[in-house]
Amino acid sequence: MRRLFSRWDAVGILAVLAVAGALFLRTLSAPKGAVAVVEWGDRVLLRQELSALSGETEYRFAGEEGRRVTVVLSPQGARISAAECPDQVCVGTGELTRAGEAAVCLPSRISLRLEGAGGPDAVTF
Amino acid sequence: MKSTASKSASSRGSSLRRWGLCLGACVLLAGLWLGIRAWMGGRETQLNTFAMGSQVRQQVWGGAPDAAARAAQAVTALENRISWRVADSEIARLNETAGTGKVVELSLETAAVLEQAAAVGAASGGALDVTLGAVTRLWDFDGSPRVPQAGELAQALETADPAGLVLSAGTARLDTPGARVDLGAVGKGAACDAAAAVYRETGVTRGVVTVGGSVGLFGEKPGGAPWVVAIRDPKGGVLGELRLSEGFVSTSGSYEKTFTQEGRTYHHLLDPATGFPAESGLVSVTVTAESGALSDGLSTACFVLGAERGAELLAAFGAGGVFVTQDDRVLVTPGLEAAFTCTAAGYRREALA
Repeated sequence: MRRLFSRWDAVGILAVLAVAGALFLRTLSAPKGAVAVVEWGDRVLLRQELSALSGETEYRFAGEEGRRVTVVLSPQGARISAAECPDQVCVGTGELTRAGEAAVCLPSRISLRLEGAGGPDAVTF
Repeated sequence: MKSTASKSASSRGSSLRRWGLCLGACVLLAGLWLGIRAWMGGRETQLNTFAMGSQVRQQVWGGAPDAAARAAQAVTALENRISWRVADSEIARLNETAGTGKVVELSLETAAVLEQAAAVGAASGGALDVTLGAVTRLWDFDGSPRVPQAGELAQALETADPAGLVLSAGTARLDTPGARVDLGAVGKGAACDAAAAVYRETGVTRGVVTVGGSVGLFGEKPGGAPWVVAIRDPKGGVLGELRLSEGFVSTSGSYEKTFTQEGRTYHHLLDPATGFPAESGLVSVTVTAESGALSDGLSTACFVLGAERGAELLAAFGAGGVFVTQDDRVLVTPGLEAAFTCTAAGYRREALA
């Protein structure tokens, strides 16, 4: 009687299943909206996966006219904690926790946003 | 023994051929899939620029390689035409001629923005008034904000007169002496219109443009799924999501530009009737409409009018709205009932007639 699968078929199937399983587990463990992106105009200054951080981490950047902006990232979210500008709108935006959210410091032209799967296409405010 | 070994080698060879064929088929399918994706959407371009005192963020698929860059130029060109802050802009020239009887030639773009703003102004009973410029300058929300003195505010309010702005065949005349046109209430939405016009001209398949808090959705999202636009929660975070096939979205919120003087906080959405920040019981209004200038102008007018009268105004323009009240209610117009999902806690959702 002819067997449905040969030994090599079984090895191939197991290999495919193992790769598929590994990819699935990776997808499950990947945090949604977890990459913080800091940009100055169209230039990316920082891309940081939030889950890779162990705690709060502070980053300082200089944008337009040398205006300084301080960004704080943590596994829970991202925020602009200080900015050299008069209105402090970006600081007032508070903590970003979901993909698609953004804070922009207009005078320095530095923006902070969260990227990731499951986020909206745009935010209106 | 020899026969068994030969059979095993033959079986192994046959399996390897089958797996080779499978692998080839997978590569072909992957290539086909990538080809379909490229055909459906084209390549994606992202571009961040600054104009109109805001970030202009674009995500564009397909079309000419410089489509996003051209759209950004169109937004800046519009700003140079309609901003009163830009010396020699069409609006700056119009303001200079106020009360002189002189006529100012307008570009098609500026004329379209003024006409849409005037239409919203007329339909809202003056809740949107682009001739309020002398008053907005006194408050100076984009510079050094302060509460104007009663005398200077009364004097500035006298110059605000929508009837004094005469639009005719691509020209404008400002009849009231001292009147100042300020298109700040419609500018960002109009900028989304300008970007969308470039997308149409350059063969863009689909695109999302945001200018400050105004959003333009162009074309259909891959797979026919709706675009998702998050509405900011006035208390922070996200209030909810709108699912839309295309169109324009703008929000006017009292949380956006504020200052505090002598213990009282003032926001930038002025009531043309009083010259003071509007008090209509609302915290924010989000409007969806067929053009960006309309969605932007309508959101400002609705904030001044309040939820009930605002909903009537939106119905007249075939637009939709989500109103957030000071007592934590979220009121949704019938056209957006299915499209809007409230995700924030602590709000009571209600339908508007």
